[in-house]
Amino acid sequence: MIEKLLENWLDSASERSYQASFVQMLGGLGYRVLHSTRHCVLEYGKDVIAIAPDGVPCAYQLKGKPSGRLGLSEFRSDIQQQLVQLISQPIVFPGISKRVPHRSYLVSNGYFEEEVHRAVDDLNRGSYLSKIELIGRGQLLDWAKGLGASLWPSEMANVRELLEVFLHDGRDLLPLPRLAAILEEILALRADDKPFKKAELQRAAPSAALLTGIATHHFAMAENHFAVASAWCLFTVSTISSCERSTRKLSGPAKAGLALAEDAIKDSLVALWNEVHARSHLVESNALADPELFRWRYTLLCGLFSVLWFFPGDTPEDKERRIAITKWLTRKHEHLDLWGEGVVPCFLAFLLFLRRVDATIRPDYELAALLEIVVTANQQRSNHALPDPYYGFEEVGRIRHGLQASKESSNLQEETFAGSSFNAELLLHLVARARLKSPCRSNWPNFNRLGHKRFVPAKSWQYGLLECSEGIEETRQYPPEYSWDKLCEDAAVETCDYLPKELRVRPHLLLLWVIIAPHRLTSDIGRILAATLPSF
Amino acid sequence: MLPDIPPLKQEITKKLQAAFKQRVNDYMGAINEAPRCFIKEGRQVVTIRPDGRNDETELKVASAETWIRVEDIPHLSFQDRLAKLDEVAREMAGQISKHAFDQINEAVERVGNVVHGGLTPESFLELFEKIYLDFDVDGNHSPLTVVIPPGMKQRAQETMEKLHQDPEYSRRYQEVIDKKWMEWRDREAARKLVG
Repeated sequence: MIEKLLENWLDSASERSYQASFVQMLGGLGYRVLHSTRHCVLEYGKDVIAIAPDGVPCAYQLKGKPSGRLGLSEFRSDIQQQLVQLISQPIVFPGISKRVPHRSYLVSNGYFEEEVHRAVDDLNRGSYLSKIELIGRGQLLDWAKGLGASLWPSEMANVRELLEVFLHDGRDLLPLPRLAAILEEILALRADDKPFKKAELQRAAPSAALLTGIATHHFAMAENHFAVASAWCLFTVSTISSCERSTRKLSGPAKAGLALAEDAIKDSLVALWNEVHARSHLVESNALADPELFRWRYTLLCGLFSVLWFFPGDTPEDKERRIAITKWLTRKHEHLDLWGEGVVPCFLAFLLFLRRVDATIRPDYELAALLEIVVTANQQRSNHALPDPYYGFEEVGRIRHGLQASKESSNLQEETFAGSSFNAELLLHLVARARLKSPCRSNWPNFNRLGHKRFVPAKSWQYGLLECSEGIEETRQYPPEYSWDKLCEDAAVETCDYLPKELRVRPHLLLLWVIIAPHRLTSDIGRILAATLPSF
Repeated sequence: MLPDIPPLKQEITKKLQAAFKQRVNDYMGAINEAPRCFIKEGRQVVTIRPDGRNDETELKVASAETWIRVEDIPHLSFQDRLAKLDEVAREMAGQISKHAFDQINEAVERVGNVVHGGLTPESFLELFEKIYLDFDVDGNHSPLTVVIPPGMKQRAQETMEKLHQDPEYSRRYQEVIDKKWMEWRDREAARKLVG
């Protein structure tokens, strides 16, 4: 069944949709991938640059040929000229000597016709710097089977989950819990699993990466950039969790796979940004129904573009993009929607971004305004309390519009949110960190009436789980009278026992993680984000 | 297997489950009016009190069973099945309510809020003295729910009437409420960030 799935993937993938999995396979085979991103143009004709295990630089040109054969006419008209550049020009990349001859590859997920083999032979007889080798469907399939299949889900329930994700409508939100269940099996993150030994982690991580790329193939084909970024984010956080559980330092193929996944996330966010930048509106199909989703989408985009702004990178393209994002995010926003506590991470990302680019007091007052809205909305007996962050917009939307309830939205209807909050404490701490005593004082009575909730996983590796069976749900009640100094002291704490080290050093990734898993945003995490996200 | 249509049965089951849930809520009476939260993760629920004390909420299982004989199944109408579920709902609601009242009893015993003396105006006044009341902007206190055995309903109603109609009791009742209002004001005024 897994083999059929791999064949189906290869036979329907486009160049764009298999690139992320291709580089993960290279990483799993021991190659050191230096360049694979699509968000900055490096050199014409070189999609991927890697160093082979024997130290030789390799340049790859990728072509998508779903269910097809690459024939001579297409080769001559579209590809040959690029290949000539690929083999005649040295690889110009920091750390690669121009004098070392490189290997060149033409990669296709289809078959190469006999005439193409002959044309490549002719090219290879020329006096170029490098020779071309062909990598076709058969070799890609062998690599995928060798790297992935043996470690992929063995339990039927998870095989079913894999198929469900693979066959899911690519235009929808990513079914995160299903993908999480599969990754947890591969990466030994279930309660009864034994922590990995070093070699096991190094085998499992590339396998999980390959699975992530293949399972989300239809989302990539639909250019559903948010879903693709969510999948790679889940993979990175799961890999970090597995590493944390095994108490080993992130290294080897696991580390390389993580870096490639971060590139894939950035690629997706850049593609999303480029799409928004190029469009004249943010409406997405079905004009009659879209007004109900428009504000949710708008707020999410503000959060995601803030994350992209924080992503590392200092190429001219990165700098130019940051300027454009800043311009987009600092205009007047009329469509932001605080539909529940599940969207607070998007607001947080946006306000932390604003803090970095606006030296005035405006971002701090925006934070204070958000604090006031949250603590007021969630007062006891409030009729418009914000649903807690375990509920996504889909569940909230179903209730808002009187649609048939899913299991989750049915629970949402029965639950009481008035009287408590998951995010008010973080917002108060951030306002206190900005030394705005007045809004802290004025909001204190309402803040004080609330129970302040958070979930603390039993072990740090469990922070990266979408749903955790071990841990404590805490509700904190503050004493009526509290001192400003003590509040500032609380707000200054930047430690957290349950945050994996590898996630702490990647605040841009942590910020994206709390956007896709909003229940993982606690005041501890928010303060760390405020302290560690970079300025550019 | 024999011919079957699982999706249709799933929809019917959903309908029955919704009816069951509604019955459980109905049978829980006053407890059903309490705020409700679902535990989404973990197995422990802790409240950190203002003095730093940790109160762990004890989780209890509520379960009930019913049996349907295979030979009866072809003859069971929808109403028959609802009646079966009704028995289970009553049993479940009883267990949940009992656990909730056990916890309330334990809490009021601990803080000394138990009033003895039967259903008299005096004991009601003593009761009001002990409870914690919040008020709205119009000065109305938060609604109160009185839970009493069905056999004592008449007596309780008479006592409440006496409390409001007898001039002496009415005056004392108003005094208690005024005192509670002042306490509430003091509590609210005490919510402050100092320094």
